[in-house]
Amino acid sequence: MPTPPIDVAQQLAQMREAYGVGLRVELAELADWARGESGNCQNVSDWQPIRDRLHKIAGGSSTFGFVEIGQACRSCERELDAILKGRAPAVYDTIIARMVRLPELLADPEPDSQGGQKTVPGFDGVVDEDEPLIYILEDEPETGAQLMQILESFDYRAELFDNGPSLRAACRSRRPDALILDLHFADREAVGGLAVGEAIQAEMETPLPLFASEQSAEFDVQLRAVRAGVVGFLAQPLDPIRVTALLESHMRAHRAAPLRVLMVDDDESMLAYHRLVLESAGFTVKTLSEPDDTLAVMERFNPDVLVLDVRMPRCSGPELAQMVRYHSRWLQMPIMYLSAIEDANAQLEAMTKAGDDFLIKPITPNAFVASVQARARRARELSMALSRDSLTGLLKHADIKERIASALSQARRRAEPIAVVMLDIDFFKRVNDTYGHLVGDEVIRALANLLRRRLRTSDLLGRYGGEEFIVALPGCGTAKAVEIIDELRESFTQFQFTAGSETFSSSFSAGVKVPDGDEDLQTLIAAADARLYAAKNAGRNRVVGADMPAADPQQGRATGPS
Amino acid sequence: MATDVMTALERVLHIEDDESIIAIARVALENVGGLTVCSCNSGQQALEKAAGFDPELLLLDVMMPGMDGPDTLAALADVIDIDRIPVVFMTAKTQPADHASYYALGASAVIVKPFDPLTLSEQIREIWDKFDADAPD
Repeated sequence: MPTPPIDVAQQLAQMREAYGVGLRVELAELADWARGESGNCQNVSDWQPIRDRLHKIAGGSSTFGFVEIGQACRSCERELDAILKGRAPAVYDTIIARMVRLPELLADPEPDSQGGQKTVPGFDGVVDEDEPLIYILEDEPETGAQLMQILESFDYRAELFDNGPSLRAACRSRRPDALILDLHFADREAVGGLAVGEAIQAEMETPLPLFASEQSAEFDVQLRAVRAGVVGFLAQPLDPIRVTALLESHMRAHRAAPLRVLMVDDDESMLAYHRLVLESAGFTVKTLSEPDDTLAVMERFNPDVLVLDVRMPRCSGPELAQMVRYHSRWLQMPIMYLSAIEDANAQLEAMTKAGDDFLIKPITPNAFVASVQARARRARELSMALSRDSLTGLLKHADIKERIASALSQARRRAEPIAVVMLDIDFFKRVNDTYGHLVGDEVIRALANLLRRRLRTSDLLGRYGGEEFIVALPGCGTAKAVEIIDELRESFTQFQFTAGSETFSSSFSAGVKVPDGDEDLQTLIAAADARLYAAKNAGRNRVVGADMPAADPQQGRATGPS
Repeated sequence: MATDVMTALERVLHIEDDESIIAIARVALENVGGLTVCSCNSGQQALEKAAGFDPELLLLDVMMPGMDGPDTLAALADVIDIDRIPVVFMTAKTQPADHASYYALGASAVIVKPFDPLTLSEQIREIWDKFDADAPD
């Protein structure tokens, strides 16, 4: 469709602004109610009017570009529905906590010098509460059972189907997050599983991610798989760690924080219009009509992509791009020009001066979103690959410390607790010496996947050193953090690793520290580390959340359940 | 797409209890899409206005206090010939099972909220063209 006339864009932008004003009042009222009156509710039905208000906001706010608020209200609404319909116990704590925080979501994003995802404790975890649902199509009972066991041990919800029609019916009544198909389902020679997948995709509004549980070397089969939406192959024989690593790499991309775009254009109405287009597509957008503050804003906002108008009065887009490129931090970031100039020479000049792409106005909303998305996503993948550990996909030492430092200062500003946890695999050297480094790597990867799966998205997780991990749990006091980490410890001991014909299990020890003053991160890490070593000294495979008596650290008592 | 033989869609009856959604849908359908919209903030109001407006398409919010979308649709059947026009339900629910039940109630299409104000009219026209093409006469 053609770009709508500017007056429409302005009109929409004004409506958005007006809606935002009303929304602010409404959210403040709901938060007040949650803080006070909700405590007086005697009956489940007292919540009905609140549920209706949340529903209304959930439906309206995203249309006006307040996507995050729409999602938050939708989560509250869904949980209240479950309670109102008697499907869940009448416990409102998390709903109340989320409602209290609703007004914060409307505030401008906090300046976040590390550029980490914006974390709102108690809200970001929402997504995780619905564990990913995966359907499996497999007619060999043994393979099916094996897959089910793997998925369940990593906390996925999995359902097994041995025929196409019942799988199709299940997909119709409840959309899964992914499908695993036996490529040679029902027929060893043909590709029956792929045919079932194609039939299901045809019925879906948006395609489902498919995984095929067997590789095929044939070009035609691979091409058909690509066209059917197969995003990965699970290699045979099935290896739990590799299977979950593959699923994880997909699910993680799925839950990533919104892409950030910074736009600089002297035409305010164009800015308003493009902002609306990008925000409706789920981007987080910042706009500047003067170029002067560009670098300062970039430092705080950490955009994934920069979109510049070519002709601006004080300085041109290509000139601004060169200034940005003076800073090594921004050498990797894509810069796109957006301009009405259709002259090929001007394009060429703009591109050779530090840009990556040239978009010509008027551009349809869809084309604009697609171009920006492709650039931004690729840039984010690249920067992820650089800052992440290649074995586990977790953040590396320096990057995770930066993120945790930022989370720590955010927790201070909000006067909320945050727990820092150091975690180390027990007797890891023995595993390496006995079974070799490859097996040792599997153990490390298994723990990384377990932590990534089971922690909330607001939690921070990194590989600190060889077999040592660091975790930060915003919003958690000592008791809660010890409880969470101890559950993970218990799960990890259940894993069975294989090395040749032998099987063995592993365990980890952990130390938890919550700041009680304004200690810096280094002090906190040292304190958590001291508790980790206390846990090791007390016999390993345990979590310690308190200091040992100073007199004799060797004889200390572990405070975590062991 | 509509061919020359078909007439283009003009009049849309929009029923929605949230005034801010009414306003943005109006901009989306009238200013962006060039349609004529009659907005009603309740099923009751729709019953009063429907016959006089003679809509060519119904755009109906599912969840409204009092008369909800399906109730309103049932009541409108006494006022206008709803079999001859497409009925589009607007819902925030994304479960396919919910959508199936709307089709069972007589919806020609379901639009999921949040909608994109810049493409809503396009979506509506496509539904209308398809309905027109499917019509027996």
